[in-house]
Amino acid sequence: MKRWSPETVKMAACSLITVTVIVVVWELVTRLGEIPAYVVPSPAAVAEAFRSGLIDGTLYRHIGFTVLCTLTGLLAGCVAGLLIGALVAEFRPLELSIYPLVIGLQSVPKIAIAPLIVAYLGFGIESKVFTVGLLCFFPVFVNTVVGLHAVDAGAIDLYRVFSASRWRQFLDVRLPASADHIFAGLQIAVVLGLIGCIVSEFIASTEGLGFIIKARAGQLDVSMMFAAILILAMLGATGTLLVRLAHGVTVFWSPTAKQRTAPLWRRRQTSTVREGGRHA
Amino acid sequence: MRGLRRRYGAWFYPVATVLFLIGAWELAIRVGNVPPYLLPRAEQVVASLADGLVDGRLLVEGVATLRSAMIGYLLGSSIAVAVGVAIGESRWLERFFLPIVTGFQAIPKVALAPLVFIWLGFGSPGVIALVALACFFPVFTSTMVGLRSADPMLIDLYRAHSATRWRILMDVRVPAATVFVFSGFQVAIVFAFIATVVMEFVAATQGLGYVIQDSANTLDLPISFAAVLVLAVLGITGTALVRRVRRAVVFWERGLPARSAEATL
Repeated sequence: MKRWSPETVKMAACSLITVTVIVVVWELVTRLGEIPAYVVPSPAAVAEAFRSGLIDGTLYRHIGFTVLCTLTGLLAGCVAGLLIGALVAEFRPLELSIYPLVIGLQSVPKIAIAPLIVAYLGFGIESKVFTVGLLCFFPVFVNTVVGLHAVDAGAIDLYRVFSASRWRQFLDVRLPASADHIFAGLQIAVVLGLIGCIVSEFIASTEGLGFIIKARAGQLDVSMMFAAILILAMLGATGTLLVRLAHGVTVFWSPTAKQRTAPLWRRRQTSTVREGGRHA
Repeated sequence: MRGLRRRYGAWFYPVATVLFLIGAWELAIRVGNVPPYLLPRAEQVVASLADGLVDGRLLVEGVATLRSAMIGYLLGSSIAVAVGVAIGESRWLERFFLPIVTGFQAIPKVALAPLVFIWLGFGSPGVIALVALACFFPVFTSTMVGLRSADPMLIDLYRAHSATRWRILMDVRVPAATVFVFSGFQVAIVFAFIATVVMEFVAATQGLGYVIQDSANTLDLPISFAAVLVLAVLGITGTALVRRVRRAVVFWERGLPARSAEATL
């Protein structure tokens, strides 16, 4: 295992202290203060909810449902975004008609349509998948178009000089060059997809993590809500991590890909002297 | 005539596409004999829109939504900038708190909506709280990244002249951060509207989100569509406003090389 820098060790230690302090204060407050359990459950209650959910398995069905909906919707939305994005980038009339509309729609909260989608597609998995797909489409589409346009013109010209077909140009030059942008779009799509799934489950569902959160709210079972929310956070973090890994592996030549995997606290740049005089 | 064409030429294709889509919508209804409870006709939606705006239902709810969104946005963004500057400046604060904040960032804020509902009940306090939460993280992250982006040689120059930490902060790091912070503001406004709508879905008795959900439930589709349109206009206007402010405040950004498109939502 790589040796941790002293900075990372300090940060790990300090954050551990903070977490411990928070948990201890939380426990004390729920025990000594007059706060009812339905407002703030004690850490013990949340741990119990976790145990019952993950070890006894009561949450498996719901986690599975949410993951299934999100993955299916992601697949549909991203594929659609890629295909239509590629088409729009290749054919100018399409671009002139569709692209400004999509950009305009960026400012519109697409999630607002979720109740309509539920009204049309019902309580089940279809409405969730459609909502997720809808939300995922936009970032992937926009990033695909931007990426395909940002390709180095010199490389394309080189291919044209050698009479490469348009298809060849696309596969060999434009697609790899835009891969960075596309993966960035995928990363946004994962986050949005999860949000879409949750909201759709809030509106109408009989299973899924969003359903659990909403249903348990009705029963004031706040500890289970906490557990479900935390599991959701872990799912989101895992999804983002997977996309980042895929990015680093697929687009192995890109410096951006490697930089992306560096956590926020490692991208420091306060002074040339401290960094040992390394500057552009 | 040529001047007109140059200015508005870009609008021709999108407008034509929209008109074409509306035409196709009407045609589909007529040819497919789609019943009105399934897909309302364009004129019904427009009628609902006019109705709602005139007798005020859409207006009232729209204002309620806008109000909650704006208050939450300003609250969340200002707290985020303050916390961001604090954590960005102090290495110790950063060591203690940055991982925690980053951890919270992983939680999809809309998932907290029912929790906020339990804590703050129906109505605007809950909406404002969720919006503030949702706006906090993008602005915080961009503040942190922005403060880091200050030119290190410039900082060294200031240090060589024995400038105080405050001076360095104000003169070098904050202006460098402004570019990033305003782009964070732009991301945050989109999140703000999303959070507002979702919170209104979950627990509200007013606001456009409530209207959309309620009327979709009762299959009163024209007003549902109309409310979505009003929300769309609000979203577009809000984002355009933030973009204007950004261009005005960060006026030097026009000279910078273009960064890759911030494809947000």
